Amino acid sequence: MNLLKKSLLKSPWVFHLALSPCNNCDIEILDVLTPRYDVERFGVQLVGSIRHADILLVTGVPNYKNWQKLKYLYEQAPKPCFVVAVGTCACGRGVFKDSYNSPCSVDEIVPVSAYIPGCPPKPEAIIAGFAKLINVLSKK
Amino acid sequence: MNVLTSLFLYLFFPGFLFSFMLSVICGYVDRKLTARIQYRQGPPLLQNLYDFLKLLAKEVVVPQDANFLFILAPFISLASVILASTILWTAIFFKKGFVGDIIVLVYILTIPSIALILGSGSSNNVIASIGVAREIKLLLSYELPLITSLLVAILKTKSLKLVEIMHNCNVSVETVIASLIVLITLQAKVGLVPFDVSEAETELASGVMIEYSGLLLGLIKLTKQIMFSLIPAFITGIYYYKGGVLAFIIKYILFLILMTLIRNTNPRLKIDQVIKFCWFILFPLALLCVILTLIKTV
Repeated sequence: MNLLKKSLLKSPWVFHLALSPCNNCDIEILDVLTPRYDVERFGVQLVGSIRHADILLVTGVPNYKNWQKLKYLYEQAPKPCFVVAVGTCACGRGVFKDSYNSPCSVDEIVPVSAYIPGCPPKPEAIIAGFAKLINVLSKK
Repeated sequence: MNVLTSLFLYLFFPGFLFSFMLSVICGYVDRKLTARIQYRQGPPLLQNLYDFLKLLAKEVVVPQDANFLFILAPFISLASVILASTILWTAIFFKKGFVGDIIVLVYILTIPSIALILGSGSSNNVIASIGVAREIKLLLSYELPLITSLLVAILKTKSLKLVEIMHNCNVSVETVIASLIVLITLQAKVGLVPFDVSEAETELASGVMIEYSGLLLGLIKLTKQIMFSLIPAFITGIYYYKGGVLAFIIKYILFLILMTLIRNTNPRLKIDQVIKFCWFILFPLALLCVILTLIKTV
C-alpha cells in the first residue's frame, strides 16, 4: 500500500476550478503550470476532467450562483481528492466577507487541505504550498 | 507452440510485462523530450509508472446510466493491444509467426479504438459523445491510407507472413514514403497531437476519456502508452528490419524521437482537416506507392 501512496504523492493531477475570481490567481496558477516554473518536475499535470483529478485548485469566492457547483464537483471527484484554496478570496473571503452575494467561504462547503494566501500568491508560494501539502500527506 | 508457452509469451516476455516496461521508458523519453523542447526540466524517469499506480489506487466512478460496456471496454482494449505487441515482438525476437499475421495485427490494432468508442459512448455524457463521433471519423479516415501503405510491403515481398516481410523488404523510394504514411496514420491511431481531435483537452475536456476514472482510466492510458511504444517497432520491423540488433535499436529510437517531434511541432487539426488530409493527400500518395511497387515487381 505504501507504494500506492507514494505514487499518489508523486503524480498529483490538478483540476482548476475558478469560482468567479478576478483572474489574478488563475494567471499565477497558469504561470506555475507553464515552462518557467514547470511543476511537471513533481508530476503535476493539468487535467480537463474532474474524474481524473487528485487535487481541486479553487480560486475566488463562492457566490449564490456557483457554490452548489463546487459541492457537486467535489462529490463527482474520485477519492482521494484534496482541495487547495488559492488566494485570499478562497482562503477566507477577503474583502467580500460581508458582500450581499457571498453566502459562505470555500471551507464551509468542502474540506480544504491546504490554504495558499496572497492576493495573488506568487508562483513560488503556490509551489511551496504544494510541497507542504505533499509533506503533510506523506506523514499520514 | 503449446498453451503454456503462448501464455508465457502473452503475459511475460514479449507480452504484458515487457511491453509495460518498454512503454514506461518510451513514455519517459516522450515526456522528457517534450519538456526539453519547451525549455523546461520534465518529469522523473518512472513518472508514467507512478501515474499508473496512482490511478490503480483511486476510486472508480461509474456514471449512473452507463452499461456494462463502460467497464468492459478498457479491459478489451488493453488485452488486444497486448496481443498485438505479443505478435509483433515474437516475430522480431523469435522469428516466429503464422501466415496472415500482418492482417491479424491490423485488425487487432483497431480494437482499442472501437472499444473506446463503445465504452465512452455508453457513458451517456454529451461531451464524450462528441468525442466518440470524432473518434469514429478518425478511425474511418486513417485506416484507408494505413492499409494501402501496408500493401506496399506485402506486394513487394509477396508474403502475408510478418517474418518473411521483415527479412525480404528492401529499402526503396516507395517503402520510405509508405513507412512515413504509416508513421503519420499510426500517430492518429494513438491520438497524438496533430490528430488528437477525439481527446482535445482544451475544447472537449479530454473528450472520450472524460467519464473514466481510477483503474479504468489507467488501463486506457496504458493502452495508449503501449501502442505508442509499439509504433516504432512496427515501422522498423516491416520496412527497415535489415541490419543487426544495434541497427534495430537505433532505428527504433530514431522513429520514437521523430514521433515526439511531430507531436510537439504541430497544432491540432480540425476533424474535417484530418479527413481531407488522410483521404485526399495520404491515400493517393499510398496508392502511388502501390502502383510503383506493382510496376517494379511485375
